[in-house]
Amino acid sequence: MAHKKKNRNVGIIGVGQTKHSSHREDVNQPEMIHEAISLALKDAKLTMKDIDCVIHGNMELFEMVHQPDLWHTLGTGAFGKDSIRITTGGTVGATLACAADNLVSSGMYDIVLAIGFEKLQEGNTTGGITNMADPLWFRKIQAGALTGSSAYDVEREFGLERANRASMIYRIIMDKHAGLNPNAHRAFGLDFNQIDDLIKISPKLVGELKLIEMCSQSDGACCVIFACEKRAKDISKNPVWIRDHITAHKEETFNIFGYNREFPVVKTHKFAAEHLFKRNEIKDPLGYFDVFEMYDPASWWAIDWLRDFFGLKGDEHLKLVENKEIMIGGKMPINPSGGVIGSNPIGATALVRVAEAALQIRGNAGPHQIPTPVKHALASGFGGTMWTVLMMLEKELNW
Amino acid sequence: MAEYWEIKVEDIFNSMQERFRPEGAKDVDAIFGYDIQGEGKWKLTVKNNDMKIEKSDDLSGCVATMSADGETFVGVNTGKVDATNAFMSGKVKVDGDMGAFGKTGKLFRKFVIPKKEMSTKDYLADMFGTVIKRFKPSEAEGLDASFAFDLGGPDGGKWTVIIKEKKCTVTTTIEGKPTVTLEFNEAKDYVDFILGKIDAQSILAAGKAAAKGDINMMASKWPVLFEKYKDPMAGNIPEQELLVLKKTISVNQKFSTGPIMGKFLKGLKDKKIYANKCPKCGRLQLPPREVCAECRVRAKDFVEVGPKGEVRYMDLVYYAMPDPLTGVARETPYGALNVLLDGCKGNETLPHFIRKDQIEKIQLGWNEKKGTRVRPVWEENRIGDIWDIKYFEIDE
Amino acid sequence: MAKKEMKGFEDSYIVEGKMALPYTYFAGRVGSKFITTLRDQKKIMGVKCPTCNKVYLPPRQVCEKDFTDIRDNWVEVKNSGVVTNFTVVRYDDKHLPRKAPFTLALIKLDGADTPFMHILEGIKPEEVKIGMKVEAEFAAQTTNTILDIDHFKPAAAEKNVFERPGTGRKPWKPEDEHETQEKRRGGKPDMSTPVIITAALSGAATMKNQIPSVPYTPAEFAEEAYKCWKAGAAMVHVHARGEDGMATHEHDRIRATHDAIKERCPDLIVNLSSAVGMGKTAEQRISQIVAIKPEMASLNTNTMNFSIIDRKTGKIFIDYVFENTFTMVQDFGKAMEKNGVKPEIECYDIGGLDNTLLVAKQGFFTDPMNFNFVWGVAGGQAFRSEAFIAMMNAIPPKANFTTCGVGTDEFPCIMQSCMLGGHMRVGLEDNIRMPNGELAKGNYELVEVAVRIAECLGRPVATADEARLIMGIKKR
Repeated sequence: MAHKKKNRNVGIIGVGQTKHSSHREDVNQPEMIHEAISLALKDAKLTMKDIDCVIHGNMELFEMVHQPDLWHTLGTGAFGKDSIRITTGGTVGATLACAADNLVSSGMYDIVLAIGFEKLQEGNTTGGITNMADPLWFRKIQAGALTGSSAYDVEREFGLERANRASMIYRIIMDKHAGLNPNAHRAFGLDFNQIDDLIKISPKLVGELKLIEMCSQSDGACCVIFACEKRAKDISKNPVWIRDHITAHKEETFNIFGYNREFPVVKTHKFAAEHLFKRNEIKDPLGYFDVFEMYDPASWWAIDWLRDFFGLKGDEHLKLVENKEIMIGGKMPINPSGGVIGSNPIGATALVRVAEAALQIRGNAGPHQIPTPVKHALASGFGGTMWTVLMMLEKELNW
Repeated sequence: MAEYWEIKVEDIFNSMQERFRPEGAKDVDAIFGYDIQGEGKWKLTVKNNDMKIEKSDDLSGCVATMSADGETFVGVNTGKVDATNAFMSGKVKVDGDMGAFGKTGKLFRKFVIPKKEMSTKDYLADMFGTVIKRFKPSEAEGLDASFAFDLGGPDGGKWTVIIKEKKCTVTTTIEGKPTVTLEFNEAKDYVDFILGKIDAQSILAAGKAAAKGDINMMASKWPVLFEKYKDPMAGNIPEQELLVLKKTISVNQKFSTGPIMGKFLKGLKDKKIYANKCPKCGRLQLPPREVCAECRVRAKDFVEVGPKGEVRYMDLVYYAMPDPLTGVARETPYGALNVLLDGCKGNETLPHFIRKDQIEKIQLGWNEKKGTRVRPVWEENRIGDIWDIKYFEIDE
Repeated sequence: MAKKEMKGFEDSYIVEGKMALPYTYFAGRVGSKFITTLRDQKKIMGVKCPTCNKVYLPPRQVCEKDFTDIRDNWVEVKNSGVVTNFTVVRYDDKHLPRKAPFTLALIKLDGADTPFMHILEGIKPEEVKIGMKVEAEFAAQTTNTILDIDHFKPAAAEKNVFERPGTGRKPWKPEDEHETQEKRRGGKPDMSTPVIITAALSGAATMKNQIPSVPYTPAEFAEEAYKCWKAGAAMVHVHARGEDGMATHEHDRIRATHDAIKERCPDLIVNLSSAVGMGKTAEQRISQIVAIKPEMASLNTNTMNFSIIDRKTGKIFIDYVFENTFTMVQDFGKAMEKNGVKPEIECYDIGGLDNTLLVAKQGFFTDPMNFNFVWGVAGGQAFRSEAFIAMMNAIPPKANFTTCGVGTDEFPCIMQSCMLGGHMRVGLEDNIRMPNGELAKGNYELVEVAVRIAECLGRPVATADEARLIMGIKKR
């Protein structure tokens, strides 16, 4: 895949997030959206008048509101403005960022506001996901987004004990990160001495996938404001530049987590990462990036996917986890925010990855800021029947 | 016994009868155990829309037993501790049938923390105790005045608030000649007045209070000189009632099978399982689809496969998810299979369910190792639906 | 025609599908308050955007137009309104709230700016008309949803054409000036001039715990004023109140109160107090009048005791001196006249009247002067018939007079005034009880008593425009 043609550079100039939590009984959907939007406008020191276009994203069916962007105008501020709704599954937040980049870089708009949200407590996540399947036959028998097949893969390759421990170490690291992030939904205060206990007591959901290893179900919203280079430089002291983004889709298929490596179908994480790094001439992604905000729906998948994203060999990915190189202060900090396991308002989740990566580059992420300077950041989105969005963010306009 | 947030573990159990909701106990017939570390064990029997709670060291016969420490138990029951967090982090454990234990959530109304009250004496102490803190020196430029309070009744007392050289002092006597004196027959009326429960005019009009001296000073200066008194109990006002609408949205749909899926589904009617083959890469698709999405070519050739095969993978599902056709949660655990039917290879598996009683016996397979052999169990009346296969069972 | 099967599609057929999923929607704080208020109090609440003044119904957290946060700005709207549009649903579907045919109407409730949709019943679909008046019928059983209003129905037959006292007759016109004066000078009361009824809506000291209908908020003032206007009042006298009910001198609040009344009933004369309340400075008292420029404002005429004293025992509760020096009378009077605000000259005894006539020699008061004889203030005179006549005889020939009395003085004094060709002021500022001692339902009930007195004495009730003509007020 060749580079996409960009007419002009695009910078992130404002970020706003709600505190993600299990219940937001005190606000309805547009009211919660409004919180994130107000914060982002405040962050960018803009008002709604400055916004040219609003893009709205959430999951289809999760709240079962048809054309939610209509009702949500109350919160999005899209009244009388150009507005686009996007829904691409778990990736939707990342797709919002890509769309905003495309809309601004093309010259269509100077300033675009992207809002992703979800109130998972209102809907039925798994029920919604089962409806993604072919209604003629598979909807009736599939199990939603839950599967233990990744765990089975890792377990078969590295043995049950090492696999279980690696997954739990990853889980505890995410909990420690979430403990630093004031917006994170779940932070239990877990510690590494609890590994064995947690493996034993945490109820199993599917196969070896345990409740504690699965992402949360959160209510929350995230808003990011994008501007063309000229406006970004006028408005912001420290815009974060979007270097490139890639989306890889895959056919609809049921064996979505690829349990059989001998007969590989396209693995979109690997596919997307390889193409993106190749066209940007990045030979050693692990060395190049300073932080990676990864869409990690469960710790089993996360440890497995590290290999795909960074093109690692053998058990290098497990070693990264086991040696705690993915912690803040480590060689490749993953999800200083606490990740998706920490907070998962799905329609916002992938946009939170981009937002948190941008905040890390700006250097004001908060208590979970990485101590060393962040120049290059990577953010991923994951959704549907395994498709991938990757976005590269840069501090300087010098690539 | 220890108290947490001024509530004892026993308070929670003792109030269960009172909080019991018979409507939540329909179809519940079970005994539940509670093991509260350092506090004791309790046994909850629910039967015939009624309940019994007893302290008992014998928890035999319980379908599920919850264990926690006293603080966590009280916290979860009073909303001070997030129940999910406590459960996830292992502070609350449930041994036995977790699904059954989940039903206890509907059995009781919420435990309401008894409201602590402040007496008139407490209020007066707090009101005059915070006067200096609430004083705004910037408003007292050039002011030399004293405000005296003569509050009667059993809880009453005398106070003088003196403002001089932008400083505020409080005495518990009335000294000298105050600029203005407020007299209340009952100290309680003064407290109510400050809390905004009654207004000055009506107390004055009823002869319950009187003001002497420079009343103007009191009326115009006092509110400026001091920040408004904040009722420390105000936080105890019950939270606003927040409404929740629960609704199962049910939509009837119609889908056209198209010729390819139609052929597959019709085949099931005749106990035949069809896959189709990609002319380019040669892989089978099961169920068949019109094109091979990998090669982007039409796949027209049908191949009959199975019906027996080998288990490649099984998801043992513990988490109850709703059946999208009814909105009702499925019974757990169940085994969701991927079966490699005879004639297929690699990833060309068919998803279906295993017979419930055989979940434990299933061996997963991969390329080096064969999984358990299974065969479909067909429905008597087949209509051309994936459920024409009831489930798979072990082929012995 | 025989079913034609396309070649190659013989295996294609239709299967029935279904999707059913459980959802849990949170109404949020704003939505919950809206529903619980209409459920528990049968009151419909909207929110008003302070930036664009739009009242939204159903309420919402943010004004979509200007993005202002409006969540706390609650206003009550009426349970009745007008149909702005409607549609008749003529098919049945399990998701619809009623069996077909039924009418879904867009209804703009009185006091709201946005229409909202509800079911309209009690009328055949073919008889529904845009503009018809409808009212809410609340549900007997709550569902905690918008269906706690079960439906709307045509409004109970209101009087076909609303007739406020004073309408439906030939408008009054002043006869030649000379004749009017003659009538009074001869000792014969002028009974043909319409009687102006003023409602003193709140005063500074009447509180909600005494009588809940006393208005505090601009919206409450507007509603009370509207009811009084309907009952027959031509003018309202206003002491604006803060949220806590305290009399306020803050311009924004007074202006909001004034404007809310004028918006609700543009016809009414609004008369603002220049006394405001206890402990206010001269500057606080007059600056608001100059800023807001009501059509009329009170002008107090003597420095006097203005206290709270037990009427039975004589015990002093609050001893207060109400300061109105000659300089203040002069300055206030000049400021009002200069700004086109007609002074209502408040006389708490005949000395106050004489004070006024003294400074009036400077010539800044425009004709006609309008006096209000006030009775029963602790510090002023109590009502006495002969004192009334003395005061009436003391005012200049072209001047008008009205009167008000505190507590039980209210009805005797206005009756005498009406009988002598003067005007009447009632209202919760002065008195909260009906003649039989029961609490008044609101200011309007007291206005109704005044209207009855006028009817008994055969005097027409003045419209607001007639009142302007009589008192020499320029309509703003």
